[in-house]
Amino acid sequence: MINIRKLLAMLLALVLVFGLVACASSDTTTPADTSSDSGSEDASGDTTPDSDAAESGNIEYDVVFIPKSIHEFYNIIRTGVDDAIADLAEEGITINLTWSAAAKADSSEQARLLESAISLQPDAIAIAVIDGDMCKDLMQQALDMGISVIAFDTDFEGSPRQACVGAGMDNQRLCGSQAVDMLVEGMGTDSAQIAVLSGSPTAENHQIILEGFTERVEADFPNLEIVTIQADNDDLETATRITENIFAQYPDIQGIFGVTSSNGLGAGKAYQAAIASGQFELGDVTILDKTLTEEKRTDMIPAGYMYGVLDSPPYIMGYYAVQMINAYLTDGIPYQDIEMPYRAATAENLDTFTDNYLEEFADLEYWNQ
Amino acid sequence: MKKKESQSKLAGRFKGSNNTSLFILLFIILLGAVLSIVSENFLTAYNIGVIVRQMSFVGMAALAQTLVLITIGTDLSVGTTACLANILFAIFATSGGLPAPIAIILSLIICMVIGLCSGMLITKLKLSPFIVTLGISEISTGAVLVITQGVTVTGLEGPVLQLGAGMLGPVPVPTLIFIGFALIMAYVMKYTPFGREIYAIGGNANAARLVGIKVDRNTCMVFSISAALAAIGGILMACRYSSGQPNIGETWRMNSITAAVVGGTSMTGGSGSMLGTVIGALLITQLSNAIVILNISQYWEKVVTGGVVLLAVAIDALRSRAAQAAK
Repeated sequence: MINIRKLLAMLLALVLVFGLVACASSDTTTPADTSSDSGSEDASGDTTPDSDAAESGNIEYDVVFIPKSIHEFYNIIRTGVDDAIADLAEEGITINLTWSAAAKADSSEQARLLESAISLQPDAIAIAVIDGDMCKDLMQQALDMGISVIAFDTDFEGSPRQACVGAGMDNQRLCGSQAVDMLVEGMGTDSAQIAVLSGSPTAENHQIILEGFTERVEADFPNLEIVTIQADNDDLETATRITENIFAQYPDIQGIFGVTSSNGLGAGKAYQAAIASGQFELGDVTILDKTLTEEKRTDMIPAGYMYGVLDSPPYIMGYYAVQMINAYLTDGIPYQDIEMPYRAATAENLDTFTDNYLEEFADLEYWNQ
Repeated sequence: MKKKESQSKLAGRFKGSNNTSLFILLFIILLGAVLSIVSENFLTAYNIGVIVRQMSFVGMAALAQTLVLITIGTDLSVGTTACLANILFAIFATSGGLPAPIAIILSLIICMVIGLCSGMLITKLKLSPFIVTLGISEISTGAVLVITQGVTVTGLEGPVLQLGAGMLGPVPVPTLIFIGFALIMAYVMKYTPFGREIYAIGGNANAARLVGIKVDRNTCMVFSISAALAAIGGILMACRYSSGQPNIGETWRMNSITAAVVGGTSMTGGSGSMLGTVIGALLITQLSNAIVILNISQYWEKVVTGGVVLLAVAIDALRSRAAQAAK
């Protein structure tokens, strides 16, 4: 008779083996009907244009994207990436995408993923760096091996990347400043108590946005009182809890700014509960944060629990990143940084926001000029 | 008859009396008095409502943790089990098109099976609870990410949302649910054979086995019930947010252990109480509230919570030594 322990151990081992097999390559996207030629490097390892091959419809590139983590924000970027790949496939260019995301935003885990990506020797790597110090040397190593390296979403001082697409350092600071204007507009006054949910103290971009916000308040809005700045660690649940405590301690609060893409949502949920319990009425508090996610678009902003967001559309970021890489690899068009400024999305312009943004910043597509 | 008597004596030996929760309750009252002097907004109906509601969600996970701590060790999977239940319920009730009660039951059953798997791995393969629950925790986290790709599951609606967001008079509904489960668990632990056997297993599993207690079966049941309690916490969160959030419960692991230990549950097993855990959950929520009221950086909360845990564990260790010396 088979010992139950042995049976369980064997069962576990089988589950693991089959699980690994089932999961293999599940996060690698390859457009259908791909063709063969992947040679785009010369003997020295330098990447050369492949426009002739494109005309014959047999170009194929391997591209690795490394976001900060698995997160709704990066899923929107991924949608843009996928759409760009689909568009290029129609032109005979095949992009084999490897989307390499860690479960949590962890700088050492990201460095490990970057190392693994380099070992695949792809044509290009796009990375949203968490910690520049951890990735800098690896990025240089990739470049030295002839792998094209660009940054998306985030950038850092002294990065060896060939280009960056997203809201750079200056735009992050400007985002904080813009948030003050938006908050004042939403509150209808520049004399009020406000609070800030400051995200994670270890995330450089959160701190830059926070600095932009506080500097603007100090410089131009002497009657805005920041009653508290609380770190929520970019965690929805923590943001909700802190906001409820803020509502209890500061019943006259009129504005809350969340520096990340999820803490304003958490604040909005707390506001919703506070309205239900009679502590506030709709319109008493103006809440805003970054990035127009689905729940904000369809629920929180139309319902009035959030006033709006400042968005540098991640979809466009993803789309442009792929187009930039292709323009460089296929046509030899030198990389250019694409700075994507933040724009306000409120209940007034939710439906037209992305189209308006594309129209306003059409000249960002340097490869089409 | 003799066997039952010996089981009862054994259980009684390890259950013991526990004054830690009483001290904590006094501390809560003292802290509350200080905070109400510092801020006129502390002792308001709204703030009390906020505290007890916040306590409810992590409190469910703390009840789950207490059960496991009393029996065999630490359950590192309570937060991720809650998260999994949160997502499963949201998916079943939205894209799955199932009625909310069925979605709840189905989510609970899945989580209970996962808990049962933990129990079986621990009892049949003699694996460490720490490692097993850590592994299960990673699997649950991975499953949530595979299912959701990190995207919120939206579209939950209907009366079921009242479970997480509703009020019954001045009292939040999730608080009533939490208190209800705490009372049921307290009764089970104190007045049923199962409860007494759990204390006995936690006190000395070998001795419990010798007097005829089915240690393996009870341990499996403990992990299954623990998973169900954590899952209820996750489902309440889904009702609160009217959506399934893929990162719910990230802080619950530490907070659940803190609530249980501060409430007088021994890290070495065999003693502790559900009502003590309620008091522990109340304390950590009140501390979090105090951080904002006193306008202290949120990161001090971790320092304070860690300090409270160390203090509670130290008191527990000293008490155990004193008890040993008395014998």
